Amino acid sequence: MKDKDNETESNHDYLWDGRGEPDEIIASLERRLAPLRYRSRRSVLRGIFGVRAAAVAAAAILMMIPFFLFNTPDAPATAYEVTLLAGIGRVQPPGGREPVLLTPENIYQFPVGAKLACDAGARARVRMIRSNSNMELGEASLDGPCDVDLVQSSPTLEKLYLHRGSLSARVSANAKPRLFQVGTPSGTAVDLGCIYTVRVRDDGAAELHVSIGRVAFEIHKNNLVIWSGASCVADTAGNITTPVDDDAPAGFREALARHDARKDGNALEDLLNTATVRQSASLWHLLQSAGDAERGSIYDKLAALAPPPAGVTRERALALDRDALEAWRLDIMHW
Amino acid sequence: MQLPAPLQPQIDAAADGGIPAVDDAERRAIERARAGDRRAFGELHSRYVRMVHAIVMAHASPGDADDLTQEVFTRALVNIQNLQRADSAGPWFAGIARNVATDSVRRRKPSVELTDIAAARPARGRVDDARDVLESIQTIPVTYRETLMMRLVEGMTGPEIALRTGMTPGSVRVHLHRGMKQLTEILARRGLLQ
Repeated sequence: MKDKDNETESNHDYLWDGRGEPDEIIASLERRLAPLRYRSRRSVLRGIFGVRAAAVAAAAILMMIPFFLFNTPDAPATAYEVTLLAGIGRVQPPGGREPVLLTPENIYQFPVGAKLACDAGARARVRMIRSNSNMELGEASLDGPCDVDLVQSSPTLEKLYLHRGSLSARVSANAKPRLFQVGTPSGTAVDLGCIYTVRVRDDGAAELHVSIGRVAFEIHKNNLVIWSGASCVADTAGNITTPVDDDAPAGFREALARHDARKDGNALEDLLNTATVRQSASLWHLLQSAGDAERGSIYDKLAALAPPPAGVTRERALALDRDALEAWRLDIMHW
Repeated sequence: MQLPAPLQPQIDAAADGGIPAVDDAERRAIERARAGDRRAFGELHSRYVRMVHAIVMAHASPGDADDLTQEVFTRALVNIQNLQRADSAGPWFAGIARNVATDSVRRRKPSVELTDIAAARPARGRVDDARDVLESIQTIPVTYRETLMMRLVEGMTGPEIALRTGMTPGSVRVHLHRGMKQLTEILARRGLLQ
């Protein structure tokens, strides 16, 4: 390599391992490309690399697209744009005005207080864009039949309320954790940086499935953290199933379902017998929802599968010490 | 660049021209991850995330790179049983990264106008410049492009690239050198050489 293509020794060293005298061009490129470097998900500004040509085209398209503007007293912090992808959908503007029937070729603004309804078979997309910076916060895909309201839009909280139907959210790294939330009759899904789906059944029960990242599911005083590849169900009475991996062994899932239903005294023993290290996160949640008499055996199993970090003692865990449990959770689900 | 201590001996070996080997800690992490240990998977994430990010960005839109990187690791987690050999972890993660990035590019095409409407942003000098350079990198052959992304964007050294990708140090050297030569010529033609 050293003699190839007439490169100098210092160039080789610097390109190879950063040693030696910095090559001017390479060092310059490193500086110029630094904004693209991987950082932890939340520190990255993304969505700012629209192709220049696309920006021009987008501007032209925007001029051509008729915007149906609903007058609102204050401009929202975030612009919500609705696009109908298939089927029949309508937006009910705030203030009791006539609903607007959506047509696929248009983009509609969706202000706070408005309601979006999609009929069976319809699909719509709601995009969230920060007004003052044009920064994308994410998007929600809706599958009808569904009814969703925009209940709040502020710099600290963006909240949709899903009455029924299915909503899949993709929240951008631009959005701070907890900024984007989806209320349901059974609880609130709070984004912690992820892609997830909430489906509200006709009886109001909400199913939450996380595809990537993590979501907090807040139900009354409970706050569950659901992780990639896991799901749980909450009903309107405040009952919630223990979050579990979609690919958990059938025996474990079945025993967990029996345990959650509180209909089988042997369920706990069965699920502990079938749990592997992969079910540690489920056991972590179970530790908190279990009764005093059950907690010891859950702790022992969890500690055997995923030993607690320093400082998290059996006593603290059984006393449901908040700091201790959080430290253990981060150890189990840290990535 | 500061590297984790356990990496250094292997990297020195790679710098000497030998084939870089997966260390015992990584071997153990892979075994534990295959058994379903999420913390062990987290260790693999830490080791491979920059390589994955570079590969994703070599193929797909940089605006999607974060989400795609996370998707790579989600797919890897689901399919961790397919990782049979510890010394093939790098190529295995790289393969998933290429598939995810390619799928993303394919999916993105039909809705390009709509997605780019929201992606269109006011000009930002530093970011625009990075984008211009990235666009130039994306025009060079993929063989060199990924290696160059790891070196110039992620700050990985040649030995580290060899260790992570499973390529021989000699191949990495050639890719870096030829890729850099092509990139310099493209930047010069485009008037982007500073």
